[in-house]
Amino acid sequence: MSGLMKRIIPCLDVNNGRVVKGIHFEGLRDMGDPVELALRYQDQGADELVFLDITATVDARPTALAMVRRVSQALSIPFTLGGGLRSVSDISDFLEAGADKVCFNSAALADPSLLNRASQHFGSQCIVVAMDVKRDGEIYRVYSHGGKKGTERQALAWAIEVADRGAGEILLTSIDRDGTGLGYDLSVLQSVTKRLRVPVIASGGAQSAEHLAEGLAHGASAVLAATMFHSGAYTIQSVKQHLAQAGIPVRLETLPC
Amino acid sequence: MGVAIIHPGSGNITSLGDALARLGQPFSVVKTPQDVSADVLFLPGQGRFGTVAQFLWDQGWQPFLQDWLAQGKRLVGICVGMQVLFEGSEEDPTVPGLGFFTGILEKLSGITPMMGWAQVEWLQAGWPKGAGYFVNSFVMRQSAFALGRTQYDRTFCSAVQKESCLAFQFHPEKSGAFGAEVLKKCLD
Repeated sequence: MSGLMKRIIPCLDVNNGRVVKGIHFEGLRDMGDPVELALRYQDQGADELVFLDITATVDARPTALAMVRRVSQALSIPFTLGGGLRSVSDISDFLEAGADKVCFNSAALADPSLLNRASQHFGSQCIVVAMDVKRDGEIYRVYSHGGKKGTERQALAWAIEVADRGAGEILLTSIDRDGTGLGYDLSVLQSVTKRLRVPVIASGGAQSAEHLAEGLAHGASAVLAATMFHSGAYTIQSVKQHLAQAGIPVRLETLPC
Repeated sequence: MGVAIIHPGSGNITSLGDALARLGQPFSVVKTPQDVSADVLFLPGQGRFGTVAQFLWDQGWQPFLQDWLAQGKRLVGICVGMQVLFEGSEEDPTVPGLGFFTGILEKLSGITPMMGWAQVEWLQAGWPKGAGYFVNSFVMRQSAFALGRTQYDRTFCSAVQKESCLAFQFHPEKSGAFGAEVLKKCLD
């Protein structure tokens, strides 16, 4: 049996270098400093963190890089940065600043060959593809531009393609479930994890430890959640204890740093 | 004590540098053997085995490090920086490793990359108990110099030690408090 433990990943949305609540651009509420929040989650036992930069302005790059630099200096667990990356030189900037992985969404849909170039240059281990999917009748359709624009691509075919092109991990978000608290879309999750040989992170809809356990039972290597942790309803420790009691291998020991 | 990080050509050394800084350990970054003025050398590595190994050969690191180890000086390999210390890897069979340890790395089966935390079972006393963060698709199955073992598809060798040379398949710089303890031991 694999000794690899299942990962619990809080997701932090960032706007202009501050953590914000909400995934929509309207009505963002300031949640605090990224480094302070990241350290709090690290101390609770988070296995990794994902920062999604939703800053809408194009000249936001220096702010994002400065944030990544500060996070890398403070944090001793891995973190991924997503949002606004377009090119191999963008990746290089963020990895140099200290990000362990970078995450592509719309840019990969617009130019899938970017994934080949990125993985050849930096290795698959640091290239994550985020897929936002939505049920459309019998199929799951992939959306771009923060879930606003439907594409011609279907979830499973796109997942297979990005893995073939060198993505080392897939962050699979259900638009239907995101923000509902109804749990992950287990059907699309299972269809992707059954076929893929790269790790898949389940995302969108989790609001309880049971939801995280369901995602892991349907093939996810890691589970991502935001609101259930940000709201204070759950700590990482409390969900990990729950998962451990359910027989799911999680990393429990966290010595004070 | 002087510490230097060998820039392995591809990838970056930011995470390792930040981890050493958190321990209060000053360091320099060196690209060629001529730049080295240190007692402890770290060799991190990301990406492909062949890219890193070729870079090290081209820059003259192999003879330098061979001599470094013969003098009993500390070298610490991390991830691909551990892998290139062996003779070769299935990932890039045409590029030889530096050959300080015998053996050829093989590809893991199952989900790859292996990504996440796994327990390190130490084969010697004095190392901290806990899990390290792994990101790799290739491993050394076994070594006469194994220092730690970890389970994935099967058991593999997650740390090795031969005299002053230490190497880890996981990333101590990204392995929380456990990793910080491992790094401290390397600086002892």
